Amino acid sequence: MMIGSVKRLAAATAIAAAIAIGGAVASRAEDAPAGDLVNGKRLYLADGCFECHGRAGQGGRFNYLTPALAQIALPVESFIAFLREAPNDMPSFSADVLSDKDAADIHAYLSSLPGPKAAKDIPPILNQ
Amino acid sequence: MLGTRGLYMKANYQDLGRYQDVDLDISGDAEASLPILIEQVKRGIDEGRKAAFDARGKKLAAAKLATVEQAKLDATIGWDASPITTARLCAELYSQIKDEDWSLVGTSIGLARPHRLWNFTKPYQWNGLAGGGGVGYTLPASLGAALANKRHGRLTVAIGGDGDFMFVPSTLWTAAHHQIPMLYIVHNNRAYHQEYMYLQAMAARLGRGITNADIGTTIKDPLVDYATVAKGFGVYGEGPVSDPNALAPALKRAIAMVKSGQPALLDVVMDQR
Repeated sequence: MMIGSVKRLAAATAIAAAIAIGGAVASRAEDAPAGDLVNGKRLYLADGCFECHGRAGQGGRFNYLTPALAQIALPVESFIAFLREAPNDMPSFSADVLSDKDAADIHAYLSSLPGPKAAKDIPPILNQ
Repeated sequence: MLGTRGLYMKANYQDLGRYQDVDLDISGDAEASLPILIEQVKRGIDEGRKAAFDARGKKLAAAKLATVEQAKLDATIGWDASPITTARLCAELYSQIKDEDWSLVGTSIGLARPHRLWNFTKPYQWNGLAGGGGVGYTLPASLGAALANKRHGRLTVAIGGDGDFMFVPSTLWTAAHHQIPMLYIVHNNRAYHQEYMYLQAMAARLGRGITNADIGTTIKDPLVDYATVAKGFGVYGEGPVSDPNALAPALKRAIAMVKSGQPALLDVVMDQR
């Protein structure tokens, strides 16, 4: 991935803000990068991404709410920049432990995960 | 008293006078004192300020409703997944207790879903977390709260981590011996998960071994059968429940047991947070 001219810290901050206000996002399937979904899923589980963001990419909590990543809205270049200089307690993943190729595969896998359903079809949700 | 600039009230005397820059520190029970205090404050509000408060209240209510709708939407992601999502557990549980006089007396570390999805309107519906984040707190503390709730006939529920449960499981014997009704749901993510997350974060930061954070932090090989542990202490136990479609019926059976006056444990294999 070419991210050479990206000012990483600034990008990470902007991306964090984008995630914070993201909430339910529209499908970005048309923008999904070509990537190896099988390898992306393997890494998402093996590298522990699911520990905070959930196996279904549903989000969760660490010391604060961790965002849902299913149908991720970030473009792949921004996603990689974010991983390299992650804010707060989100681990930063250097290229030594996670290559750009592997990160792009994770991004492709996240893009493939189903997003929210219509709550009207789920009685226990309606009953909240 | 209401002329003071700041008033701080807390039941924990150890916090009294610490950190807060206030005019008046009072050691007291907020549940008992707040209704009187609120009425006093209302009497002191003039019409101009009342209109401002009402307008602000409407904005806050709209924002809260939007937050709940977003939480509901978020909860649908992975609805049919196994391990079961924490959102589904919390939605299914609340759906079955919301019309009861319920009291949530404990949650596993970092479990935020109840406060995003449920409607908390009474002081006893939530009694907080371990002050220092101590592991092993949730089961015994929940039973203490269940004992306090017993004479009021409240339906006591708690969701505790499996790692937390491993510290004082004999609490269940106390629950059985004294017949203290409480639904205890084991949030079984098969880990001391908070530790796992910190280790993983540090390993990534230091650029080493990010795939080894499960060493010493996970509870597997063998897996623990918490329902059998509960039965060994004389408590109704069911699980492990890993099929999301089996969750609602299992909750119904366990809640029926609690409503009959007995403790019950439900082991639910859930996603991490």
